[in-house]
Amino acid sequence: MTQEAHEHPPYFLICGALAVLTIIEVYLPGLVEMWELSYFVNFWGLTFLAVVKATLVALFFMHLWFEKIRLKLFIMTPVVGTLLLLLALLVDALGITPF
Amino acid sequence: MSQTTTAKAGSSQDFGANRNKLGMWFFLCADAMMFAGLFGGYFMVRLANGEAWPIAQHYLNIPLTAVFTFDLIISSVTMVKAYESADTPDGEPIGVLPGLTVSNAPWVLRTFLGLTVLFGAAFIGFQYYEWSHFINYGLLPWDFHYEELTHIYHGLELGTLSGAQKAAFPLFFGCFYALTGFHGFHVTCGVIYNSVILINDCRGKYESDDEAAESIETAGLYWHFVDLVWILLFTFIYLV
Repeated sequence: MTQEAHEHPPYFLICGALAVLTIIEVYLPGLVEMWELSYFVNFWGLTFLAVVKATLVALFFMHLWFEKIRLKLFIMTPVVGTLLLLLALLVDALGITPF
Repeated sequence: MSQTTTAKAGSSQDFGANRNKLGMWFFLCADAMMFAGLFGGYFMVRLANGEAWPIAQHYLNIPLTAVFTFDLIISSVTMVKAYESADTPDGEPIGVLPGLTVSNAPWVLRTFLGLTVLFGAAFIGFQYYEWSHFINYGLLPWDFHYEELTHIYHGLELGTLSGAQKAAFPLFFGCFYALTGFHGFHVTCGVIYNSVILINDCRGKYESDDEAAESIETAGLYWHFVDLVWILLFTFIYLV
């Protein structure tokens, strides 16, 4: 047993959830087109599904759920950094001049 | 596998993680920012081209990619089960399939680790097939053969393409090669990394259960990160 022993969550159940979410992701663009929904429904729906899947992998496969809060906060650094980078690029791409 | 455990010196208590694990997390945070830069560049190029951007579903094989996305997810499961096996004393029950439990033994860990390597290698094979498919048709950003696009998407009428749309195709494939290539390089390194761990375990190089579990946990973090990046890549390149 390791010094920082983890509980082991139900990995097969999480795998099943990831499989179902992947299937929904694959069919969502087709459904959006069929029901003539807005492109933004497609974009935000797929983004939401991707974020949920990534969170499941990070929390349970990478065992972040069981880690100390300090490590969790440390790992949030690239997440915040990525969002700031994308926000800065988006402002540039859309030609928004806040100042 | 040896039943004895030894105390590990130098564990960092501040983050509740040993040095190897913390070092891997440092690396993954830096790697995540590299991917963030690539994704940011992709979003910029895509936004700049607006409606002229090609519809990915017309040119990329979504069903096949979905199958290999699932392949990578399964490889993450086998990797984490390998860690669970290393973390469980020999003789204790461990689930190997839904509803199937066996007594933990060295073969369980090696089987799961071997499957992880196999699934990873299969993904590399898929990536090779996808790239060679496009390269054989001359769909390279610096030498783009537009007439070959009709072989991939039969509904395309080349004569109706605007100048902006023609300009967007090399950019689309350039982004595709950059992102999937960088990710594929990570997968290749991960397959080699996991293979080395498997070989070390088969040779009995790990002196204790702790040492084996620590190595597999650290390698597992890298492998799950690769899977996580692919989840985002599949969504934003192939589906959106």
